[in-house]
Amino acid sequence: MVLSPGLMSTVQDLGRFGWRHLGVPVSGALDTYALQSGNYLVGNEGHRAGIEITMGMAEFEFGAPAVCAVTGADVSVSVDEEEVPCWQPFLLRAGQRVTIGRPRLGFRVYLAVDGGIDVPVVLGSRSTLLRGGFGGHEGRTLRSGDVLPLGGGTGRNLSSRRWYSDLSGAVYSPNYLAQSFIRFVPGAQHHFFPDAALQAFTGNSYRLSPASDRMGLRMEGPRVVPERADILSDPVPTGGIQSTGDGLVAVMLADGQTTGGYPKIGTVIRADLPVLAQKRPGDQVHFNLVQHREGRGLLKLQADLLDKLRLPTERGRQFLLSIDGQGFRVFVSDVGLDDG
Amino acid sequence: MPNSNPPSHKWATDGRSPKRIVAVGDDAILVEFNGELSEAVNRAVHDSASSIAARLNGGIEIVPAYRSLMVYYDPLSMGYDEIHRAISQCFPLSLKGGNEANLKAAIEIPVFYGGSDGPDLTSVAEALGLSEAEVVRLHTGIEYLVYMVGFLPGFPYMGKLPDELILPRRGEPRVKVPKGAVAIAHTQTGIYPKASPGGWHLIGRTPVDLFDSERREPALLSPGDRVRFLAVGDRR
Repeated sequence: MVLSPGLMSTVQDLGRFGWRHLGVPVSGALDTYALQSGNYLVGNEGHRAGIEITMGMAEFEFGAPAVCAVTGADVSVSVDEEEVPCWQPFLLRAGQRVTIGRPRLGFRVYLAVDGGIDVPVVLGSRSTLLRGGFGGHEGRTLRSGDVLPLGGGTGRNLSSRRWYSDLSGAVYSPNYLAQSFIRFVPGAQHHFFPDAALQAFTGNSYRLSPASDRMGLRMEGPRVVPERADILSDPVPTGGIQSTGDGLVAVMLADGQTTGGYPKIGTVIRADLPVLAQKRPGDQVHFNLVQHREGRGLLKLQADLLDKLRLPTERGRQFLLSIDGQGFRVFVSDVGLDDG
Repeated sequence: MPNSNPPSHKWATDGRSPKRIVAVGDDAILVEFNGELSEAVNRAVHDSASSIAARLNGGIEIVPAYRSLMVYYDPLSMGYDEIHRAISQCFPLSLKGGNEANLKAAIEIPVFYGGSDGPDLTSVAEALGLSEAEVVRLHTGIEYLVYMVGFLPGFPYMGKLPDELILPRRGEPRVKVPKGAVAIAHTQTGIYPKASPGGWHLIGRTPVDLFDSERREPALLSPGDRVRFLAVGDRR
């Protein structure tokens, strides 16, 4: 149950694919890296739905035992007032409360639960599209008192002893939160911009405007004016960097329109979308031009890093067994013995 | 000209091949045709979409627009060079193939014109020097092509309007356009599937649900569809 949703919380998975030709944006976690990590930490597949909590300061009560992980922004997390680390799985008994503080670094916090948040699948996804009023929990942001169905994972099935998959000691440090450069590849109308405008764009820093949301981020900084702005609308990718006719810069995010008529300077590489998702209004970033091959290489590196979190569940499983407050690490794997 | 001229030069001008096929993101390839917005160019876009979808057979998402389309793919499971090559091999488009939309019957959309359903019909007629009835007759008189679907889930951008109905957008956009509003702006007509802000002239309203996320086919209209509006009388 949601006791307090904070500034804005929504149910999100990794996105709704296959409907962009009908004007349905992908939606999903803005920091896909954090949600996927959280899912792996609690033993889920990466695409399960979790809760995206903008600026933290939220509280949830669990009606059933669960394994959880809080990822994304660096934040203090407590279970019934006892602090637990983020980017680590922890156990909750029925009736316990998870309290998420105000992020020290970063903007969006993700709460992953074993089995995932089991809201109905709409057009192939559990993500909330606020502008469409569908997906997630009733197509809207979470409110105090909302009760969310849980998918029923591994933790709950195990007897009175509490088990959870362990991060094999490799405490993940989310250093991407401190990254202040955002890499992009040339966009569809990159050649509409004079060299001086492109140099101003990459040579200066931009500040996130408070007038930003899940559709897009407005950037405050030098204007980037195209030589011509009269383009015919064309498809807008997530991460598309647009310049309005008068040079204001905006970056489109997961809930952004699927098509648009503003000239596009570039597209933020997918590996850096989580970095951007963690910037809060007022934060400064620098845009660096890279080649699209480099973008894909960095995405592959990120995927490999995520795979490391997932590895233990493939080879077998590591569990942390807690008996009377004492923790024990147990590694369980299939040794291939036949029954009998 | 000698034969050393790359064939793409010819392709770009014959309307059956794109001007460029270019990566515009690490999971996105843009296929863009030459020329201004026209039915012929937009048909080439839809034919390309069918051809690319048939050749790549899954794992991608194709988003058509006026004179371009985007192919989204998963760079972790598919190689860029491979996809770029497969897309290139779809051109020049075969002249006989595709054009499935030409064969499909137009989808009929019933509309209540004017009054509180179309609050701008009077001002539109005035600006165009026509009577309200003439605006309705012109708007319902031809079939439209759905160039693309965007802005909101299920919002169809359709054209081309008869020349007599062309006028710029409203000077001041509305904060709230009601669901089902049938609107015109420039050379196009559209339908708001959901209440939203909007700057087009509202000439009528349809009771038909253009988008419902609970339906198997959520959008009534897809890119490449043909549409005809039917005036269904006055509910005043």
